[in-house]
Amino acid sequence: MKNLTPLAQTYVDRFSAASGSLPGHNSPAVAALRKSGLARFASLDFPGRKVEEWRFTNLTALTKGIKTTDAPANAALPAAEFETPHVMTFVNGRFSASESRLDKLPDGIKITSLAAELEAGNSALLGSDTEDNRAVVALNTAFMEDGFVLTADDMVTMETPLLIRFVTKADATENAHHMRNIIRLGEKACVTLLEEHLGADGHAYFANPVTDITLKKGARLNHYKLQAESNSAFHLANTDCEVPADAVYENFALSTGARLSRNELETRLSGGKSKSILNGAYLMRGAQHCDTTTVTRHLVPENDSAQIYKGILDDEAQGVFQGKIQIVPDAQQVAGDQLSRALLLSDRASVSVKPELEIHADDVKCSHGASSGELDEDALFYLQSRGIEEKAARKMLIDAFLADVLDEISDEAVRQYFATITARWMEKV
Amino acid sequence: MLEIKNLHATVGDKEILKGINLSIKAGEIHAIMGPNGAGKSTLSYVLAGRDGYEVTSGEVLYKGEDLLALSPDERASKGIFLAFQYPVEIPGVASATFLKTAYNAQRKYRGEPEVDAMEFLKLIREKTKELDIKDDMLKRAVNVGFSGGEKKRNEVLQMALLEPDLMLLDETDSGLDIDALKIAADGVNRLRSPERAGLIITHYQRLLDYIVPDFVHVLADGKIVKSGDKSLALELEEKGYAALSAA
Amino acid sequence: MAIRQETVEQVASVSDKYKYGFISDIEADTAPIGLSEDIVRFISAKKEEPEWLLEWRLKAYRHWLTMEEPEWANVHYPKIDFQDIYYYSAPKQKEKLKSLDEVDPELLEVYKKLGIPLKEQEVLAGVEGAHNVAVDAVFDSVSVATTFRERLEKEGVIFCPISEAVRDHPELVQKYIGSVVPYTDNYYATLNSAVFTDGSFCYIPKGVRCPMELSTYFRINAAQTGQFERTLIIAEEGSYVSYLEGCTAPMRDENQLHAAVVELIIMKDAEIKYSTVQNWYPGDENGVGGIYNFVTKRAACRGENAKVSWTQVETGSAITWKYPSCILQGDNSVGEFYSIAIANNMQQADTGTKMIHLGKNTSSTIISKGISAGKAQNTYRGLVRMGRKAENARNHTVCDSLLIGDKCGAHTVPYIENQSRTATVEHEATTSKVSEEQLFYCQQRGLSEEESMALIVNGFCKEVLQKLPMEFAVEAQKLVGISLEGSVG
Repeated sequence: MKNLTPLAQTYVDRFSAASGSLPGHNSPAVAALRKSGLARFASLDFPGRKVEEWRFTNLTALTKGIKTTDAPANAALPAAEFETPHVMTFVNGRFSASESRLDKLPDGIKITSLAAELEAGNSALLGSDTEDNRAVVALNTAFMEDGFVLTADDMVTMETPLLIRFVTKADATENAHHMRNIIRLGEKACVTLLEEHLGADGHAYFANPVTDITLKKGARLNHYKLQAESNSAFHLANTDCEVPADAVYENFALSTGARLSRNELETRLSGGKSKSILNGAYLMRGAQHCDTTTVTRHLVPENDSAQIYKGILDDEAQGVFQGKIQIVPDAQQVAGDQLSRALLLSDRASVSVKPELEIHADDVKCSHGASSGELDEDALFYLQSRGIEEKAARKMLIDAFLADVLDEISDEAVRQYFATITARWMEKV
Repeated sequence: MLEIKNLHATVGDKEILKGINLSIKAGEIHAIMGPNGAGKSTLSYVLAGRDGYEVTSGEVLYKGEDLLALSPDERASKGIFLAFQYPVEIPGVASATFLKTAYNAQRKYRGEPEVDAMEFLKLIREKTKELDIKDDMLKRAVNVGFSGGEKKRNEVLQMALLEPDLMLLDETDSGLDIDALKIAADGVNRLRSPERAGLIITHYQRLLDYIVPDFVHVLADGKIVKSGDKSLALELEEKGYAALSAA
Repeated sequence: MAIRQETVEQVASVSDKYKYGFISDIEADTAPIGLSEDIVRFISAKKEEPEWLLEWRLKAYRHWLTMEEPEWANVHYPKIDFQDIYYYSAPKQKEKLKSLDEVDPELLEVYKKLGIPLKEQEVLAGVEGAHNVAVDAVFDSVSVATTFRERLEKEGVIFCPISEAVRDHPELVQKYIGSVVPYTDNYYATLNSAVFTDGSFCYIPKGVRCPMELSTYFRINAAQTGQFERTLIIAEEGSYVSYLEGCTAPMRDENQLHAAVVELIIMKDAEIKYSTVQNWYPGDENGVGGIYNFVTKRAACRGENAKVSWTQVETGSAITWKYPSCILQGDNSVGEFYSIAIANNMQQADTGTKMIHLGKNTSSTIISKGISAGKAQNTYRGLVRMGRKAENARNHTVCDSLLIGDKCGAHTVPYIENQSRTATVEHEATTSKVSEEQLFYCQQRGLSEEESMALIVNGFCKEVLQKLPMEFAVEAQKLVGISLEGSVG
């Protein structure tokens, strides 16, 4: 057997000792699932660059072992800015009841911690192990420690967004968090969710969240995510969503944090008139690396998917977008559109893009567009010639570049919140 | 020229034509009018041989021959021309190329020599001039980016070039302003002769002011419910289809 | 022109599905089956090659032994047994060819059937002006005749089989061979470096505009034979050449391997226009037989304002694996890739290009038209890379797929890597189908179903067809129609 990467080896070595204290260790089903996750992880290892899906993202800095943290142990984290009555907080990978407010949830909406569910013997909600080649998902299956479990009954609508914060403090004893989140929406249920992933700059850790979403017929999930991890952190997230007939999954990811991040989304359109809307913006500077990888599978006829991703890259930052649209045989009358645009603000920034279409049905409308480059010099000059100074003109054009993707966010409050964050990021350009 | 006997046709599982009887002699122009959904366009597609329009019973004789046994291109080459209600866009294929290919395919089918590019150009220039159509339309891809009016003019131009024996006009007047309507009508009238016949499908009487029909039929719910001369069209215009259905 | 027309008519008049499927009974001089150092030495000895070339071949062969067959392309086929292939087959000749009279009449018959404008007797009879295309023909492993050499020599243009170039212009061959596609490049290119048997060589001296189009016809005839040709074209400063390449093979139930390498070197202000109509035998409707076409083509724009344009019409082969690429080193250099790839029945095509921008103000254009019919799988795979120093570089890519029927697949896999702030990369891809409405509309105007299909598909490909030299374009248009026969209904 080949040698594992150092980090993978530590996980394999630690597993038997650790599994005794992980939540649900008394349940044979959970133990079996963890074991199968570990076996799969051990056979895969962290992906190297020879793995086609990882050709643009190099995990060596992570896999050789996370180096020690520079952040002071008491480094302060920003308080929650987004205003909502419903907040759930995880600190250092564990549910924190004291920093959560979940008493005003409407009837039919239930949110609990995964650790509590597993301790209570509720292992069925985990489902079975996924048999794919995603090593970090397998690792998560082996080591998952907590996460949120959100369920909505049929026909229930929750008007105000639910905020879920994942906070890693510099005093954390563990330098990795494997959060497993589960979302189940009933028929025609409608929920808006905002996830925040935060950490103190300088603090090195590895966040590995996996989110498993199942919607029932006619349900709608507006799923927003702010990834503002520590600039020394690694963030490798996987989200899978099953979208049946008449259901809508909307996702928007705003990424400003982490030293290296990858947001991987897989949606499966398994019913007619279903819709997947994946959008996002990434704002990177310094030596940050941000990878967005999406796979959209159209499994039956008559459904739509749309994607818009925009990136702004300054300094030596690297952006990656990989988006695959797959249409299986006989999935006729499907529409799939995808757009990826990146703006390079520095001579050392770079972007790699791989939009991919895999089409096995003829009556479909699919397109993808990708572009990258600098700000439009003509537009810049035009604004300047009207008396706007260069800096303001640049900002205006960058704002405009981001505006149309932010406009895709259907929740007004989240849209404004994300606009504030992008504006703050741009002040430092 | 055209003999339609007890024609029944379905689209999908739905019966649209429920026993049409119609006889058109050479030299005659017939108009078919009727409310939306009566089966007017279905009739034109069945006559032109479109896939998915299934004849369940009845027969159609064209110049004494079983029309329904022929493929669409054979019907075209034997002189049936359908001016489409919604002309189809074909990206990348220049109108001139398309017309020349069609023109020569029909000539070849009839055992006539094909014309070369120069000859064809001369011919088509004459036609565009007659119909007041700009030559640059010939360079553009078939119907791509054409306005509604341009598409209909293009149909008339094709008809003028191919000189069919039986003209089928499916709502050629829809989307046309009055000048374009006159040009279209003029195109049809030029072709009118004792050897040719025409079947004009229209919702409104307006076109019939310019192409005066010999007979007018009213199609409702898949059947011809009334026939008459051109005065029937005026009557319909005045009273509407509802009055007629009620009668 | 006249003979071109004849070619066109021959193609047009075809009633068989694959008109080049005939097998010619030509006596061949063949090396023992299989591959070993001895075979490499045998080929080199047969060609009376200098020591350096044999060494180079052996280095390649030894390197090849350490390599693995690539599996990343979206193509599927049983493993190739490289020991079950003849690596050298030459039509038997009495002696060195002096004139075409000495050529096996059976061979001339083949050319006639192929519609190659190679009727030397006409040239000899003084009707030289009748055509203006110089032709090299490669039959199985060796080049058998090159026309118009004298006239080209007057301009200083060298156009000959590469085996002759090795003999007559060793300094040029040694300087440039492997300089764009090194012998270590990839599995098939390395194999080719070890066992290549012939191909064309062109050298256009400084400031010369090649007075005629140069053309090579490739033909695989012998059974179980691999064809490994190698083409090398050098365009010196300020020169221009347009080069055409056509390919055919007989129908056989077995799969045959074709692993060619093409290297183009373009100096300052020079231009090469390279056009291919690839019509190797695609196999039958059930996927039995056909050519495995694993080709490495690459152009290096070494000087400022150098320009290269690849135009390809890929209709044949059971499997196509081919990515004609441009390395844009010189400032302001230009790379173009125009492609039509048609896959019908059980064919699999994985083709595209690589545009590597290194110099300032370099620009590239990619227009790819992929057509899938039957149960075929057609993949566009391309790379656009803007290097750190590629200031103000530009790329525009349009990648369109057309699907005919619901059993085929169309795939688009572009890789875009931009490391230059001032570079602009734009990529668009669409898919569409031939609609039933379009077919009916054409039929209503008198075109048969297959004519309608050919017309619509040619419309879809128009932007690329326009890039081909006139005579080739007409031929290609007909081929597009023929390739899609049986795809309707």
